[in-house]
Amino acid sequence: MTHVTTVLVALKTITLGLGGLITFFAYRAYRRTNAQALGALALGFAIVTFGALLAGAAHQAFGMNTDVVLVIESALTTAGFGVIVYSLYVE
Amino acid sequence: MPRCELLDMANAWPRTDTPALQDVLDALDDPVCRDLVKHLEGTATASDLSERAGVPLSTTYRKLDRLEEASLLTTRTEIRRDGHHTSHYRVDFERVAVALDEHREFEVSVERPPRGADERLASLWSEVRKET
Repeated sequence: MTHVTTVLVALKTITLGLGGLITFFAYRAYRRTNAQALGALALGFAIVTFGALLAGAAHQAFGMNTDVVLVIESALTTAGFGVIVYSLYVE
Repeated sequence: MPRCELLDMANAWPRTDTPALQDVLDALDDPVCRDLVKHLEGTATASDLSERAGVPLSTTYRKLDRLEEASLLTTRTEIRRDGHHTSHYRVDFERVAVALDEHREFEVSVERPPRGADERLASLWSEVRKET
């Protein structure tokens, strides 16, 4: 592993931990209030976090092309933020 | 609007709460409550409202409590550094419906005005924070 890879793996791990924490709290708030908006918020954070994990895994475990990995991650980030924005408008 | 106001939205949530029928009927049956709603356009503090409606301040507080109990109002508290907190009130309903449910019991439902995305974000976040 190069230095850059090591740094990337460390950053992705932190992203996963922090994103997972936000997702977890948002999900618990959703379970408590049953408000759809909170469910969408949790889902949005889950998608963004999962995108980071998936891209990292695709790169490390399956040796996928960096370009493909970048597209996957960006697509999931876009989708996740889309769901978060949606959570602001859902009743 | 001061930025700090947005941070304290805890009272404005959850909106899925259905008020007790009696609380709603009590509030709507009260002429002073109706008068306060009439004068409460946008947001106002209790003392502003008391002046506008020509109702003594202590009565205004009592009636605002009654309206809040019925979930017809929301309150936001502006937290100031000097410890002098001010509550801002806002009407939080568009329509109140009283209907018979399947057990032939009275049920009340309150239709709320849509809120801005910024306010929704603040209240969503305050719900998430309650879990930490």
